[in-house]
Amino acid sequence: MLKEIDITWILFAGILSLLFLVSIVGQIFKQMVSNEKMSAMVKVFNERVGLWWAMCGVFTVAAFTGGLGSIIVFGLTSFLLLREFITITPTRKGDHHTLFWVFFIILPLQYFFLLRDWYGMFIILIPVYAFLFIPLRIAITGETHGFMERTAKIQWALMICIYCISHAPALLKVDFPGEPKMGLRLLLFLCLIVQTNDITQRVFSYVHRNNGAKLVAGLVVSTILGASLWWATPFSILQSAAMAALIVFMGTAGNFCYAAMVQDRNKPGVVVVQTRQNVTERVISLCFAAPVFFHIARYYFTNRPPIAF
Amino acid sequence: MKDLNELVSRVLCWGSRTIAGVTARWIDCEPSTRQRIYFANHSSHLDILILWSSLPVEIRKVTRPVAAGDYWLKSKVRRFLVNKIFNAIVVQRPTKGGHLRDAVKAINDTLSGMGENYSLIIFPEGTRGDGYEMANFKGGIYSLAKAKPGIEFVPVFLENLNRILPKGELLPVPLISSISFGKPFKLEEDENKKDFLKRARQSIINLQNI
Repeated sequence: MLKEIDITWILFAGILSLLFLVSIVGQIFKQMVSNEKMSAMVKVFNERVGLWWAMCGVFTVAAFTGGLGSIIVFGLTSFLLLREFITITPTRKGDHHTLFWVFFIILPLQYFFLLRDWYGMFIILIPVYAFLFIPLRIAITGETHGFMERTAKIQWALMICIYCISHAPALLKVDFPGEPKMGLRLLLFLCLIVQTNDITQRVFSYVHRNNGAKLVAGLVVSTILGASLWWATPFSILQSAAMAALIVFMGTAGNFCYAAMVQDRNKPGVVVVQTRQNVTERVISLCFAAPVFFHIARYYFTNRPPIAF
Repeated sequence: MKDLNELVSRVLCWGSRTIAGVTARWIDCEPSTRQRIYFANHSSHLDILILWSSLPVEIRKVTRPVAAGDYWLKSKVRRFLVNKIFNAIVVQRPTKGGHLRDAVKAINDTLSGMGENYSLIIFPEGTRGDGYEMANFKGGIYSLAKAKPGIEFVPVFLENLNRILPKGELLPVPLISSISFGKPFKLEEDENKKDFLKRARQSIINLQNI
């Protein structure tokens, strides 16, 4: 029987060698491909592979710093995401003070509660306290034009960019009895499946025009990968496949919502600030998948009292 | 002392660009050290800092912003910034209904600060707007064009800075902004003041939609 620590390292080694292989394939394709459509596909592919390498770097750091490193990295991602999200969301001058609170008080607080293992506050800070505070802060400024819309926009930004994505590093804090590294492995599982689904859908959309085919391809590839990783998770093979399918479903939901958002913004007459990084596009699927995966893993695979991580 | 100023200037450039997440775009406009007048919309105290720090360093060295004395000479830090870092030309804003000679003096100070080599950064609206719509341009830009025939005017559109630090606020919110440099143009030979001001203002508006 393999020891707990060994499983984590095997998973790491497996992912790294897979990534290495995929990168080589990507580079070979880059040399071989000559027609335009295919080279666009290879470019998207290689971009995503680059993102994977960055992710692996983050996880390696996280593994050596006992979670602190990855909480900081996810906090930083939250910040970049929020910044981009608010930039492309029209807010008014009266929202300035509210936004200051969002960036410098609420965001750090959420990750502080996570760091201090304070599950109750982590779970209700944004849906309860921030939710009630944001409209109050906007009302105090006295600028009432579009009050409801502005409140909703900022609350949505809080939920997606801080609350949802913070559930990914929260996996590190879940106490799986007898398996201290399980949280890290589940976080890896989550990110791996989300990314596999995204990359498969993207690459496949160059191969086949049909939207349904793209979705099915993403689902099949990710579910197979998920099932084959059952040994690193607390799930059985079937459960593992089902969890992967769930992640795919949520990730795809995120991509749909992002597409709707972009379409809404691209109306004529709406000026969009050019953003360089496209953070939102890259992590929205993770934002949608993380909280659902977190809760299901936590409720059904631990026997903790409901108020502890 | 000179090294210290250089260091402060580098740190300031890097810091302000990071906080404001600036992307600089040069559209139909080659960066060049030749004498030019950069003019931009004005909605935030960050404007002058961001425009200045977005210029490539060799251009920045020969570019002087025109700063209003009533604001920039008020405190030690501001004086240090305009004199030692920006190397700004400080002029007194002519007051409304004030003497014509105040305006003439402001223009003459600017022209002598420019000399034959320095480029300028100006904000022709004269003061910060609310960020929603640009105010009409004051006549100063036309006087400069008249006094320096053949000089190139570069329109600059600063986007989103009013959301990062709006008028009347002290604390910035870290959003992403962009700065666009547009196609340079010159004063036409038979162009009158009204047409020139209108054309200059329109050139910035055109940059919003690219």
